[in-house]
Amino acid sequence: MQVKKLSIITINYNNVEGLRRTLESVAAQTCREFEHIIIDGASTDGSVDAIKEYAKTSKNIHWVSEPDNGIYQAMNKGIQKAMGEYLLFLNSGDFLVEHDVIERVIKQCNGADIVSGRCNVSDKGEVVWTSPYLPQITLYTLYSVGLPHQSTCIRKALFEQLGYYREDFRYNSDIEFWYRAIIFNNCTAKGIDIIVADYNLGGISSKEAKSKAYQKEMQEILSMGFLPKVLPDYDQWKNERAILNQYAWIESHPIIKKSLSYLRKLFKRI
Amino acid sequence: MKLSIITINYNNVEGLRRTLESVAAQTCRDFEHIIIDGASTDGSVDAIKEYAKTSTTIHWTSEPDNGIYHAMNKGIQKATGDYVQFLSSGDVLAASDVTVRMMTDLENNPDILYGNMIKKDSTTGKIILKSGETPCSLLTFYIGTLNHSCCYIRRELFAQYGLYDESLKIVSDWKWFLQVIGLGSVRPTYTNVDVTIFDAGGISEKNIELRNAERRQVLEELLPPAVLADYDAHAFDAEQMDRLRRHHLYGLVYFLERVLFKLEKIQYPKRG
Repeated sequence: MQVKKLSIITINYNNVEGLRRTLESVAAQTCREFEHIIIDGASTDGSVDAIKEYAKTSKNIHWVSEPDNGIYQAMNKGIQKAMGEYLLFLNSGDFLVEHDVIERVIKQCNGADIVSGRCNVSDKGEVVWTSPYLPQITLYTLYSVGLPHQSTCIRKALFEQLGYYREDFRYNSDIEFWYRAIIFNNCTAKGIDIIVADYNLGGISSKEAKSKAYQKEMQEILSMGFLPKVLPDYDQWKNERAILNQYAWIESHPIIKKSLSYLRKLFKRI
Repeated sequence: MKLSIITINYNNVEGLRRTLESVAAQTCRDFEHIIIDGASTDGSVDAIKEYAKTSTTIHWTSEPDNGIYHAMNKGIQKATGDYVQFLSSGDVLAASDVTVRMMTDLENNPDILYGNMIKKDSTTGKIILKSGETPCSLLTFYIGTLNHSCCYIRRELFAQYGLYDESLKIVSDWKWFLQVIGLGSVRPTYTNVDVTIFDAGGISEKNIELRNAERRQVLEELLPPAVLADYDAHAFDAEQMDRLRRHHLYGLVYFLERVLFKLEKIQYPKRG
């Protein structure tokens, strides 16, 4: 197998409709400098036929279909199979937004260990939110916004150095990996202003975001190392930023500032 | 022995006398006073001998050392108390009952117990600054520190976290606090007692530039870049916030912010 710059890893389980969308968007890329690895969990809904169909016309697709224990085990299988320098996890249902997006992203994949693009979040085919461009990725970014998994290329060597996704987690192994890499092992991360993928709500982490297991995992992540000591500072900072932003807004509108001063005088008189 | 007071000194006989006097004046005698002199040539040794004559609690040495943190580490190794207090020459216990009052709080076995520090102008004798309770988060140590002389530190912590870093000149006590409190799991306990009067002519006062350089070096060594960048920005915002709190419109802005926050909270479940 030839070493490519990027491996796109798609995991799927009984989601043939979403898988087709993903396969289609990957097949439509103008750039061919990547391989597409599909890890199917022995689906029974015709997913395998869909994969075979696309694999017929493309040499870049490598796939396997066998039972597994959840999405992070499937992803880890994908990492082991991948030959690319960088990995992009594009789960079935997610799709690349433009035909030239991989071409543009690959050009940015140099130097940093983690290259994080932007992500559309869509619900029933409609974009409801676009994740912001992250000029600097710090603990604040991870804690308050997070990195969009579907739009982030990760250097494969990181998984070999730091270990794979935790398979005992069901929802948040990707988040745990960001903390492990960026905070506890000083990996470099850079944000790029390219909308890479479209993330379909209705996936597992969005549906069960408030479940107990999810919360428990988040709690475990946020109690790693020194995090419990510094996160109260971050909560305080969030509040302060809100107030400062509001004040900056008032400052930039002299009329409002004047009326506020007037209000204050009125209050004082009362 | 419950407490060891450690005094380090180098050619500061005047300050040393003040310190010795204030320790000798303590009503409580259940402590040892360890004096580590760096082979002073200004008569400090005579002063120590003078006080040692009348007191059985004083233990002292006078030999060359490699700076203040080397001297403090020597003091820690000599100490036999459960707790240590660092009262460098020039620092003075604020009253004769300080030790007694702090001892009662030490009965609860806190990791670190601290009180207030008073900073006096050396010429006029006026109180410039009085440090009180601090939040002791990492931001506290990024911006300032916990005052070393008014802390009673459980001696075991030095075995657990290591001694002071002797490669630094003036910020090792801060670095130790940063590691133990800021990033470690120790929570200091506050008690509202005026413990020490700080000598405003101390070494940290003179060398602010060196201090800042050493602090930066330590921060870059101990904090991941992804966290340090946040604290750089946060410290800036905190300063802005301080300024804003003094601004005449702050009350109104804060009030409006609360109202908006509440409105948002009310709307949120409707959306979801």
